[in-house]
Amino acid sequence: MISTLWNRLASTRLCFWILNLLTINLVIAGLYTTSDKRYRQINSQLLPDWLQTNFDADCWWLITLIFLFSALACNIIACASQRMMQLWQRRLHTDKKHTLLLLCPTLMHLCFVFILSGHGLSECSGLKTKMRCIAGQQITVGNSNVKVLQQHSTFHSDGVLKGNLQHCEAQLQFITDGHESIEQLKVLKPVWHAGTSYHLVMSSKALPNQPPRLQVIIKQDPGLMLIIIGNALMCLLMAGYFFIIRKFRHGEQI
Amino acid sequence: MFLSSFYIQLFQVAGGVYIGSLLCYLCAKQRWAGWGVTLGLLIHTLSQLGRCWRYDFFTLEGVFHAGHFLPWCLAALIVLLWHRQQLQTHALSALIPLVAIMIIVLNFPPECHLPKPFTPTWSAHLFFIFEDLAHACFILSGWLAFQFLRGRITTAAFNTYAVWGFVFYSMAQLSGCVWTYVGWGGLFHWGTRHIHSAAVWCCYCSYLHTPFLKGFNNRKKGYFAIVASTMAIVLFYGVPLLPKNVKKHHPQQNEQLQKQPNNTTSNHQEGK
Repeated sequence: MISTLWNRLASTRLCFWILNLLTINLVIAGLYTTSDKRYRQINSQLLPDWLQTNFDADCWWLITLIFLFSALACNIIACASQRMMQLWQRRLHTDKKHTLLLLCPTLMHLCFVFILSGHGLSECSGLKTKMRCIAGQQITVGNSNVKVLQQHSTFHSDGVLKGNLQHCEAQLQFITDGHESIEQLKVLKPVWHAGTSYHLVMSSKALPNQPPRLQVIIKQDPGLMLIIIGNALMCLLMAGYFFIIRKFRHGEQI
Repeated sequence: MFLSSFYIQLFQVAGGVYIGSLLCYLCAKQRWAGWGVTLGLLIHTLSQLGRCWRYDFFTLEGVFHAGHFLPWCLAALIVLLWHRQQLQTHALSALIPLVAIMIIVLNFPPECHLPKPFTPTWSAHLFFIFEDLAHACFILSGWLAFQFLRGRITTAAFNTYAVWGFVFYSMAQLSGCVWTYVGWGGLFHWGTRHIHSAAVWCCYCSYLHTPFLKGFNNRKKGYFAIVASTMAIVLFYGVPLLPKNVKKHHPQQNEQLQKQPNNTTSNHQEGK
């Protein structure tokens, strides 16, 4: 009984159907986010906090999405562990290179589980907040006091782009336990301070010769490394695996 | 300023050469069609290079815009496939979707936004390169699957393009993730584009699992490849054209939104 259930949970057919359901769910989710602006608030709030204040019948897709991703993670873990057990039993009869090649898909799947758990961590824990980027504005993050000292935008002064926004930057002052430091914050050049990252973004469209409204996004992302490293490893493994498999199919020795 | 008009003319010439190649293909002049698309690709490459200097200084801004770079990727794949198959001709049938895209782009030239502080980063350029490469692979895969189902091709060559499209797409997700984090502090943006990207990724991920399913033969895979590539095209190039009916919130919710000191209902990912 348990063995049958385990085999069902680890089956590729289940994975196939979950992925198809996820596709449909995500297509519908995309249409919901087009038509309802409140979903954009999830970008600046933790998901549990957002659900507390915004949950209604229209959010069904979010619940099914969480359920389907959880089911997919369970399926992958079951499938990967079953596969690893098979490979372990066969290790003496196959050479190392071949075993490593056969292990690649399992490792890719585990990387995907890392990515999923990273997203779960980032959406449900850590810190997501923001402040206006106006001189004098301040906020307390953990035991640090963060203050905007100044901000300014530069525009192209000549050529075809004359008058268009070129760059924005701001000066932040951090006071942590009486210790003061000043950091220069630029667009695409975030500042990390005491485990928190600070990102300068525009909150209004850039119009010619008009400085845009700026914001500082403040984040603590516990899932960051899981997502980036998991994703990078998965891409490397995938590219390598499909390349070698292609050679293998063309009759070359691996 | 000289280059600013020259690269547009080169792009139009490339479009003309692609159309000429398609006509050769339809008139069964396969070698002419093959060398024609190779010449078109060369002219298109020059146009893309000229685009780098269109503001009188070097910038990659807008060079990898789907309107110009997607047809380049598709043409490059056709040329690669044609030369790799020892000048066999079925790859050249993909000139039909290429010319269709070129005609749309030439008639409705895409508006490339001006350089903004959010785009001059390697991760943004890599994101667009990999995304366009993936879309080109998906289109080619769908087209070859269509030809396979019609009996024009005997091998399931579409599978290779679906697989490599998925690999490029995953790389686009990685570079997009880095760009989003550095620019906006988030690893996933709860917006239509990112969510639909995830949908396409899941769809092709599901496709990759089909060889392990009993009874899922090449014909079924062919149908799947067509549905997946149609979905990718509709979600990326069709849905953004739909009129937006943004839902109005309940007055209480609206008040709540306004009370929040720094709500970011404005377009966060404006640069994308």
